[in-house]
Amino acid sequence: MNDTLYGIARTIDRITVPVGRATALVLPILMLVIILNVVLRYGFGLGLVELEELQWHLNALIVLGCMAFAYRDDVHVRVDLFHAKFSPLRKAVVEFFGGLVLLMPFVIGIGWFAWGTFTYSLSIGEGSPMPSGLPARYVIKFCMFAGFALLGLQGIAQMCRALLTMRGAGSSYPPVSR
Amino acid sequence: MTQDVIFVALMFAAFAAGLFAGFPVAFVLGGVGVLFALLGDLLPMLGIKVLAGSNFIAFASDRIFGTLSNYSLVPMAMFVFMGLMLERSGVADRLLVAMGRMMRRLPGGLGLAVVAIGLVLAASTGIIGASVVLLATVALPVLRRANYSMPLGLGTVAASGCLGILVPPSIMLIVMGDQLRLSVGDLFMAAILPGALLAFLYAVYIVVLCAIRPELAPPQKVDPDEDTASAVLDLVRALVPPVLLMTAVLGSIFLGIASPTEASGVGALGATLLAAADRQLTWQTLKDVSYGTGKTTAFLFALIFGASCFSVVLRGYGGDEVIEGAIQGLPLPPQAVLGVVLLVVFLLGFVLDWMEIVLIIAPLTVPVVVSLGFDPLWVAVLIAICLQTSFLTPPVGMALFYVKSSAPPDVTTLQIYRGIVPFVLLQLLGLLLVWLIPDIALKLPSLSY
Amino acid sequence: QDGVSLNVQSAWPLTLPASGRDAQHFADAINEASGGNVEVELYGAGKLVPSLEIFDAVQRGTLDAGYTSPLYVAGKFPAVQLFGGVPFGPDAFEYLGWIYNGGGLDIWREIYAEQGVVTVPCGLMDSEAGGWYKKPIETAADLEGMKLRFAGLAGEVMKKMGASVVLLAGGDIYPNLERGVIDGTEFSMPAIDASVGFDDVAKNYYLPGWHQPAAINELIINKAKWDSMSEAQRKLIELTCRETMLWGVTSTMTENAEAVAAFKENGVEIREFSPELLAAFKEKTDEVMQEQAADDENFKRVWDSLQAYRDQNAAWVEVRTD
Ligand code: NA
Ligand code: NA
Repeated sequence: MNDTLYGIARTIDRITVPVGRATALVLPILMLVIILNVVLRYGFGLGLVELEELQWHLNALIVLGCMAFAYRDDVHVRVDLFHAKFSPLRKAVVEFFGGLVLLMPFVIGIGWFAWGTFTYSLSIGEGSPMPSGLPARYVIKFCMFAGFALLGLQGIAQMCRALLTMRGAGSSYPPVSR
Repeated sequence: MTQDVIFVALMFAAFAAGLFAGFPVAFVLGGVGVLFALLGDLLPMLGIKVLAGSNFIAFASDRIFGTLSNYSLVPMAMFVFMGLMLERSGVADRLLVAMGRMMRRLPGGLGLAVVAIGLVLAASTGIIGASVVLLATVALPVLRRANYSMPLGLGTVAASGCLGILVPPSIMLIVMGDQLRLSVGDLFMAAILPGALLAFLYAVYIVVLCAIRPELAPPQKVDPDEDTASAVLDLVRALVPPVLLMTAVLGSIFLGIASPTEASGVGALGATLLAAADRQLTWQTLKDVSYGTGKTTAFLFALIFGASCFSVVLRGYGGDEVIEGAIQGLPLPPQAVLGVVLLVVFLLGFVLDWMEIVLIIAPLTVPVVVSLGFDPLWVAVLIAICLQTSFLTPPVGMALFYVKSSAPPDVTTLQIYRGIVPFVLLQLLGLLLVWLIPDIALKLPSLSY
Repeated sequence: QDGVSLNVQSAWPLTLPASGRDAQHFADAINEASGGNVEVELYGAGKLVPSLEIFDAVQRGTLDAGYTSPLYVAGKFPAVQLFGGVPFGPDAFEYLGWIYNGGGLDIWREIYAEQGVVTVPCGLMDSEAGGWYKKPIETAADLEGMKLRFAGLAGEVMKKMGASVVLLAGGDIYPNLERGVIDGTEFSMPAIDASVGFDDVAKNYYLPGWHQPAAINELIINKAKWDSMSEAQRKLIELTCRETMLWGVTSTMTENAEAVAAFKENGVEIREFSPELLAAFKEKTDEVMQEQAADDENFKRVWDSLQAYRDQNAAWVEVRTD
């Protein structure tokens, strides 16, 4: 049982961490796209709507790709007032029930409608409302679904880890490596 | 109406429960929103009529997509990137050494140097974590060797490191612009002088205090052989890169050369070039900075997602009318209503971070205050100054946390608290000045063409 | 028949002249005229969903109805743009003729029918202004490299003229024009432009707006909701929308005149594009329309219908307007 829990958490990490890292590395590309946009406009009097739309597309990709990654590395903001003084067991209880009662409903609720938005967009071949904008808006809508799905997966992983601690087996497995 | 008040109170209570249990705030907001939306579907069975229902989860999903496709939030990631990259560039260390050499003759000279560096860093990065940690790790040992009073040193480091939240570029101002429908460029302009005013107040306080009680900051021995000219040269050398960066980012917005997004890209590139000039730009550095930025940006956006879910469902329970009614029902003149709102923001700042306040409280209160006839930009700046104090007020103050984690181990929390009190008071004085003289905030935006 | 209640979200703040106020007028009028049998609860911009997501929410049925512009679904159904406003298109009078009597509304509803959405044209606006510019535009060469904020099909036209077309969020247009990040923008009618204060930051105002001689807004209603209503309720909605069009197009006349007078007072030059320049815009517009029609079958169908209607009436329209 404990091995299964640990295995699930590890397997999920093997998906969310590489996705997070890969999308984080889009950041330097986003920077270069903005610079290119600036250079084209001021150097060549050329304003490309595609490039401006690409900027928010890339930003969205980074955000959605890193949400789960950030949860795995415990970067999401918490109010530490009491939490910081909790015992590991108590923290695990918070993580398990918080995941079950708060994170999962949020992720499933938003993911459900994001999937619907994506399939509808795909079915009508949606593009940008600007005629020369980026085509295939459904791609980024799929990313929104995928980002929430990954966050849900990471939620399961963190709940598994919390369960391990609650079963008193937390210390017999390697901790999350950053 | 009474029914609305009950459900609004219940929603906030559920939020507070999850919040103080220490579960990530973004998920608490989103989860409570979804649960109450579902509750809205069940209530009619009990004969209770509410607008909220599971369709509000769909609204939340639509709003989240709206946030993702919002072009004006793109600078957030770039300013975070810029801050983390700047940390790698060695700019701060060189500044401190050079400034310390120049200022040690003044009463409290080292303290002044910390304030000045805090201001320069503030104007070259959009996040505060980096500058507080930098100042704490670099400046605290120096201050201690100089036999500086520890509380004074700790307060100076924490307060100066936090200037970046108000002084543009600032992530907080970008989120405020989005939530309050104000131009980010205008907010940046409006926050420059109030930020500088705070730094000025810190400096005056340190000079006056050290003149009265010299034992707090013992005068430094000056090496008689020391070459003043070389010290000046060092300082200039240390100042050039951050000032260039600052000019590129803020100057280009101010002079109308670039939009905030363009300026943020230029700033990120500038910081990367500075790191390269310092031979710190390796593949590993780029990876570290990107991972760190990705995670920070993700948690900032996740908070916006959670908050937009929470607030649309709150609206489904009549939350807007409840809050609006409560504020408008205050038997007070407009100035006093504004005062009450600022007081609430200040008090909430003790237990909450700026994000929860900007995302949940500000959109509910600011429009009501603005409808009383105040300039929205000015109100936003007053709230921003108030929020700046939330970083310094215990028990939940991010700056205190950063200082504690990077200070020498024998520094106690009590010392930090004692050191921070005067600076919180100075910020309130700054708030009062901007209130009495709105031009401190509004002059620059009206000048910029 | 039982009463029906509709949650409607507007794409604009409810106090905005024309679009926003028209939404409010429709809600007030139908609540009164139906004696409570059709109960509209109206929400301002962004209260429930972002303006650009209104169509999705109505399509899905999570929102009963939305008051919005056909231009906002250009990414979904490029053809529908032609119902919202057309560069060098018909004036308000002729536009209505095509929508109601020339088969326009039938095609419009056909396009939406597959989506489970019913549209009722519900707002009419007279010509917009041609925009605000930092510098006068005498010749086509002046537009070369100029940084402009221009939306939709007209943006494509400006791009073909050599201008550098940018995207900006609504609140960012004014400060960016003020600081010179952009050199010009198209916006709306004088009454709305005045509320933003463009006359303080740009001194060349071009009239009339070739990019949109008339505009129509729509009330979109989820089909299941529409079908659940009685014949009488649906008819009442349609009639109230027709009345809203009449009310809306006349409601801004005086305000527009006052705004233009105030602009002059504030040192703004009211200018007209030269005939040569207009001819160039027209030529590029035709190119853009050809390209769009080649890309999208429905666009071609709507465009052909509009052109046929205009040709059919040309003999009379030309005499009438001279
Ligand atoms: Na800053
Ligand atoms: Na605090």
